[in-house]
This record gives sequence, C-alpha cells and structure tokens, in this order.
Amino acid sequence: MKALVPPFAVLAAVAAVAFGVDAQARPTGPRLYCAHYDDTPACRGAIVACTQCHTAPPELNAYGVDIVTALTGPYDDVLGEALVAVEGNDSDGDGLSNLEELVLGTKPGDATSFFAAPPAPSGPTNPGFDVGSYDPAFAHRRAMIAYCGRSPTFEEREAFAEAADQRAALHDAVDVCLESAYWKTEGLPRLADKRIRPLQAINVDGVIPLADYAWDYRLFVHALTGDRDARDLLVADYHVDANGTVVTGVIAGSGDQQVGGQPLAVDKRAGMITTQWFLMIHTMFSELPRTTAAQAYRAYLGQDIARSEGLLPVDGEPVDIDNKGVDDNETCIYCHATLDPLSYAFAHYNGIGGGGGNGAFNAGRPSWAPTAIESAILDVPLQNVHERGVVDWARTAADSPLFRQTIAGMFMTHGLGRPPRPDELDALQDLADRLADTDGYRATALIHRLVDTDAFGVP
Amino acid sequence: MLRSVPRLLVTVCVLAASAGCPDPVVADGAEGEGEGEGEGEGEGEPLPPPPFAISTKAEVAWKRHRAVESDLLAALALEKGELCNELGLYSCVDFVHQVPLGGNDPFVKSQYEPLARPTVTTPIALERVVLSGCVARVDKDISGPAEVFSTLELSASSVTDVEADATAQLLARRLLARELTDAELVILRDLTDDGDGNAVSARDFAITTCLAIGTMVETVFY
Repeated sequence: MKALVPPFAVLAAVAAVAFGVDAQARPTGPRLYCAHYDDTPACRGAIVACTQCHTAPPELNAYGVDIVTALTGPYDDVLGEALVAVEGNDSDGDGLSNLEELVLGTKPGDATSFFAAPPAPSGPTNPGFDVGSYDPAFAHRRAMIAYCGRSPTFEEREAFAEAADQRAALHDAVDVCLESAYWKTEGLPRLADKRIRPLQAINVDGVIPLADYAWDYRLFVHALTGDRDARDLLVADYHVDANGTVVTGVIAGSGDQQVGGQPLAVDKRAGMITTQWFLMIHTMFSELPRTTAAQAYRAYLGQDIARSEGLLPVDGEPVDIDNKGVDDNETCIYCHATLDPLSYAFAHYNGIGGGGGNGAFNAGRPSWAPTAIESAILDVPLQNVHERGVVDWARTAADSPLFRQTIAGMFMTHGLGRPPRPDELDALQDLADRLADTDGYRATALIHRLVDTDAFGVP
Repeated sequence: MLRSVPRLLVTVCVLAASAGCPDPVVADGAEGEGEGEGEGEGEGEPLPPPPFAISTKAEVAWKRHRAVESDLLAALALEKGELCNELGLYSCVDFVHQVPLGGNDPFVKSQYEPLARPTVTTPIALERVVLSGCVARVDKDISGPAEVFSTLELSASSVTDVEADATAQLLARRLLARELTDAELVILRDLTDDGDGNAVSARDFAITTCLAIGTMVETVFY
C-alpha cells in the first residue's frame, strides 16, 4: 500500500491549469464514468458514487489522482482515455489492478476494499453440510429462519431429508413462509423501517399526533407480497386499510390537518412517497422539500446524496430558488445541481400544516412560478409538476434499473444476512434483471430465485 | 442453585467449538475445571483441523431475536410471557435485550436498522434468555405433567448416565433439531456431578443441560 499519495488538491489544481479542467465544475464525472464503464458493478443499476475517485469531493483518492494525472486534455473530453490509461495501475496498492477492482466491484482507490474468492473446499466429505455445492437442507434452514422467523423442527428436517424432490420441498416451504404472519408483520416491516422512518411520539396515537405511519407499513407489505407489483411502492394510487382492503381516494382524518387520514386524490398519489406520514415527516415546514426528495431517492433508488451517490447534475442548476445559498460554486452545487431538480415536484405538497391538511396537495404551494425551474429525475425532465405532482417522478423511478437493483439488493442482503460479496454481484444483477423481465416485478418471485442462488444455498 | 457452573462453562465452550461436527475434536485442556492459570484466549494447543472438508466461505448468519425466541418457545413448550421478563413486566427479547439479540426499535428509539453483528453483550443476553426458559420449563414440568423433561424424575437427587443421555438427546432434538453425537453425550454427562464427585440433582442437571445445548453456536448462527 502506498504510504502517502501526493497532495490531491495540488495535483488536481495542476491538471486544471494544464488542461483547462474546471476544478469547480459540477460533478459530471459519475455520468461520464458510467458511460464508459456501464457494465461494471458500480454502474449497473446504480450511479457511481463520487467516492470512487474522491475521499470527500473535491479531495481525490489514490485512484482519482492517477486519473487526473493521466488527463491529456479537457476533463469531459478525455476522461475515457484517462480511465483506460490507469486500468493496469494498482492505485491503492491492495494487490488488485484498477481494472480488476472495477470488474469485481471493489474500490480501486481504497486499499481496504478488495476481494479474493475463497478456494474450493477440500478433504473428505463433510457429514453435516454439502460444502462447496448447493445444499438444499442448508438453504431450507436459512429460508425458514429468514422468511418464517423460526428454524425448522427436528421433524421438519427429517421430512425434508426424505423428500423426493428437495428443491420443490424448499420452495413449498418458502411459499408458506411468505404468507406467514411473521413475514407480513415483522420480517417485511423491519425492511421498511429505514424507508418509513417512524416516530411514535408524533404518530396518530403519540403525544403530538401528526400522521399515521401504519398506512405506510401496510402498503409496503401489500406491494411486496402475493402477486403484487413491487413498483406499487412508488406508483400505487391506493392505500391499504387496517383490514387489508385496498382503498382509493381521500381518506378523512381528524381535525383541520386531517391527521391520520390520507388527503390525496388518486391523480396525486405516488405510493410510499406521498403518504401523509412521508410528506409530513420529511417536508415538515420546507417550501422546497429537499429532505423529502433525498429520502425518496435514497429509500427506493439506493442513491444517498449525502454520501455523494446518485449525482446527475442538471445544467443551470441549482438556481437557488428559495434563496438558501445553495448555488455556492465551491461547495453546495456539487449536490444541489442534482438534489434541487429532484425536489421541485415535491414542493406542491404540504408537510406539516397548510390548506387541505398535512401532506395535502396544495395549489398555493410553492411561492415561485413553476416555469422558473426544471424538475428532473435520472436525467428525465418532468413536465407540469405543478399539476401532476410527483406522479411522473415516481413512474420514472419505478421503471428505472436503480429501483429493481435496490429491491433485489434489499432482499438479497436480508436473505444472506449481509450485503452480497463481489463474487455474488452477478447473481444480484440477475435477480434485478429478472424481476423486470420475467417476474412481473413480484417480490415473491424474486425471493424464490434468491433461494436458488449459490450465494444463498452453498455453505 | 447452579453449583456446577465452572464445569458447565467448560462444557458450553467445548460444545460450541464442536458445533456441527459429528465427531468433535476435543482440545487437550478441556478436562480442566475452568479455573486454570491460562493466559486467556489463544493459549494452549490449537484445535486440529476437522478430518473432513469445511466451508471456505467462512461465514455464518446471525439468527436474530425473533427467531431465537420462536425457537426457544417451541422447543421448551412455553408461552411468550413465560420467557424472561424483567421484573415480570418487560420482555427481554422485545425490550430489555432487544438490540444485543439482533433486533431494533424504530418507533421509540429511532433505530431504523439492527446491528450488523453481535455485540459483546449478546452472549450474556442470550444466556439470560435461554436460562430463563430452561428454568421456567423445568419448574413447570416439576409442578405438572412433564411436557419436555419426560426422561427424568425431576425430584431425584441424582441422574444416571442413561437418563442423562436420554435427556440431552431429547433437548438436542428440540433445541438443535438434530441428534447429539456420542462424543457430545459424553461431554454432557459431566453435568451429572458438581466436579467434586457429588451428584447433581435432576432439576439442576436438567437446567444446566438445557442451557448448555440452548446456547451452542448453532442455536445462534446458521
């Protein structure tokens, strides 16, 4: 490992002067990078994070320094050539070339990020597990714990061992688990927690009642069970009541702010990201609800802008429409050129307070003229957001590779009890692709495929 | 109550090390009393590699609080309220030890994700929960028809090897969903005396055996 790399900022500045690189440029790097390496794990169903080349932008890591050093002209024109030029380097000194790391999905600028595939098991047959091969009994126990919330009993293991078709028996068990009370009331809701971000104190039964997150949990579970389309997480125009019944339209709450209800008409609904709770807890009193958009982007597309992920800047942005100073060229624009265009569509919904109640669509919001801004997500401009709200935002997101990668990643990480490793990323990609191509976006189908992967079933 | 704790700890350690192995290899120091002069972990002869292929993925998944609870309740035929309640009010699994056992509380504590790995207090919390369940089951079996410990006369002042083997095997089926090996049974027979040659009562044997098997590595990792 290199003891110390040269001062990154100095190198970047030298390159900027020599080649006309705009050192304060908006982060065009991720888009250019993924255009070049579109089939690497960092770009499949994702937008490469700034941390691929930076420690914390604009500071470069060792890989970023090598790239900047290899630039022979203006950054946007020659980045591809520079990337190729440093493929054979081992910038971080971890023993893997940059290209090897790109293919594996490890970080070429981080010496602590590397991977070596484990060797094949050797020796006499293990009496307990079929190590190194798919072991249906191992997968059966893992699936029962993951989806039924309990281990198989002695009798169940005996019966499984004697099953004529163990794979079929495994999938039968998974079917039962995916309809179990555990999966619907605990397993799936715990996957929803960080997406809903509940807080009992301000729930409808809390000390300061503002909304009811039970609606959110019910919709999350509904969309990911049965034969439902997982994209309903983002595009559902309905809710699910306490009896499990699908209901549409405005649902009355209590008081002027309609607390505990759902104030949106069908044409303004967009799944989990327009529930009263989601809009209340994230927008609160903001005129431009950046936190709301950032959470939607993070929770359902896997892109955390706070971690320099998912940056796709829009030309001319941010315009700092709410005078918060986010057009500061040296700091804020790196994220806000992406974040603000993501946020404009949410500005038409109340957070806490406002006409129509918490989370209502409010024609009086925001104070600026809609033509003054360009709303966009994933490089797709959105039209008429003052009328359509985030409906098109949500549809674009739901149909994107990032959504299916996020859903596949969520279930794979849960099923394995850890994130997938580099040698399992192809399996993750396959799960994401098939979710869209052949599984009709059914989470239950994805889980059945997951159980069949070597990542899940090979001890 | 549990006079055989030093012996029990040795037993638990040996069982943990041999989890999943049908013919466990016992380290040379395993016959000690658990209070020797060793320098701590890593001292003494390392265990030789098992005489068969082992997984090179070198990973196990953490069986978290709800599955641990469900498995214990089923294995010991207990109701949820009978398993470890602080002051008789607060569930150890749902509240008191929720986090170290692998759970999270998003609603009050804003813990939106559980811990990725067990903590230093996880074994302590697990032992408390398992011990609570074992004591509850044994006492219920003493006061009424035995639902689990049917292979022992729980009021007896001692336990025979035959009874010990039958009880250990019964518990292993219920707690581990497998049968113990002969070597494991031999280890567990140690719990029939207190280490000084004095017989252990059937009640204490039942509890310590239940705890030893119920806290084996394979009950928490898979």
